[in-house]
Amino acid sequence: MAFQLMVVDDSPAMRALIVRVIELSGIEIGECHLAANGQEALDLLAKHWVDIILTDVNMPVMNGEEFLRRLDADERLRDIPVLVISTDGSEHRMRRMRELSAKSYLKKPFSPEVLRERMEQLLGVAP
Amino acid sequence: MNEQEVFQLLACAGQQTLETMFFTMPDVVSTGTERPAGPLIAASLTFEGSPPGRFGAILSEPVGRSMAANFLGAEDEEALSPAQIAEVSGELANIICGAVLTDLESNAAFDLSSPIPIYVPADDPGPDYAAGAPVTCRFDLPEGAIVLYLAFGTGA
Repeated sequence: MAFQLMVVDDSPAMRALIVRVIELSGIEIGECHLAANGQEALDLLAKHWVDIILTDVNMPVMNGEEFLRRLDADERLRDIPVLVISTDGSEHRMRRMRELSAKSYLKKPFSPEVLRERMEQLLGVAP
Repeated sequence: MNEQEVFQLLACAGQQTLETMFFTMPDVVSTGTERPAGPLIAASLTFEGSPPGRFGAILSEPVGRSMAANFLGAEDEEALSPAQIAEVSGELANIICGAVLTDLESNAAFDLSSPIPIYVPADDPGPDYAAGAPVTCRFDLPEGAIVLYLAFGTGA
C-alpha cells in the first residue's frame, strides 16, 4: 500500500531532504504533496487526501501552530496523523503542538533512521 | 552558564547537525575565530526569547557546496546553483542555532528569524559576526572551515 504524503516547510531544501529520506527509507510512498506554509497545505488538502502530514512550525503566511489549529477544527482533516519537525525543541513548544493535533514531534537535527521510525509508528507500518 | 559551557553546546550541536543532516564530520573543532580562506558564504539570523541574541555562520565556499550536495542528495555538486548552496547554508545556521537554544533553555520558547545567507568574495571583508560575539566555534573540514558565532542580549 502506497501512502499519500504531505510535507509543509518554507525551505525547499528541507522539503527535498525530508522527501529524499522517506524515499530511501523503504516506506512505500504514492503522491507527495509539498507546501511552503499552512495555508498552501490547507489549499492542497481541499483537493487531495493524504495519509500523513509532516510540518515545520516557524513558517510565513500561516505557521505550524495555526495550521494544526485549522486541522483540529476540520472534522475531515483532524484525524490525519501529523509529525511536527522543527528546530524549536523547547518543552513549551512541544507541549503546545501536542495539545493541538500533533501526534509526534521531531527536533532538528534528526537522523534519517529516527525520521523513518517516527513515520513507521504513525503509519502503523512494521519495520 | 559560562562561555566555555556555551562553547561546548555549540560544538556538540554543530557536530551532531553536520553528522546527521549533512553527512560529514569535522577533522578539528576549536574556538578559532579566523576567517576561512577564499570566497565564503555567510548566514545570519536573530532570535527572540529568553535570552534574545544573534547567530552567524561563515563557511568556505567549497564547504558550503559540498554540504549542499550532501543535504540535497546531488550527485554532481558543480551543478548546484549559488541559490541552492546559500539556502542550505542558511538551513545549517537555522538548525544549529535552534539546537543550541533548545539545549540552553529547554523550557523556554524562542523564535528564530529566517536565516539571511550572502556570498562574500575572497577580497571582501564580509560581515563582522565576531564583533560582540563572545562564543565562537570553528570546524575544520577537508574542503575548508565553518565558523559559528553566538551573541546574547542583542536580538531583533
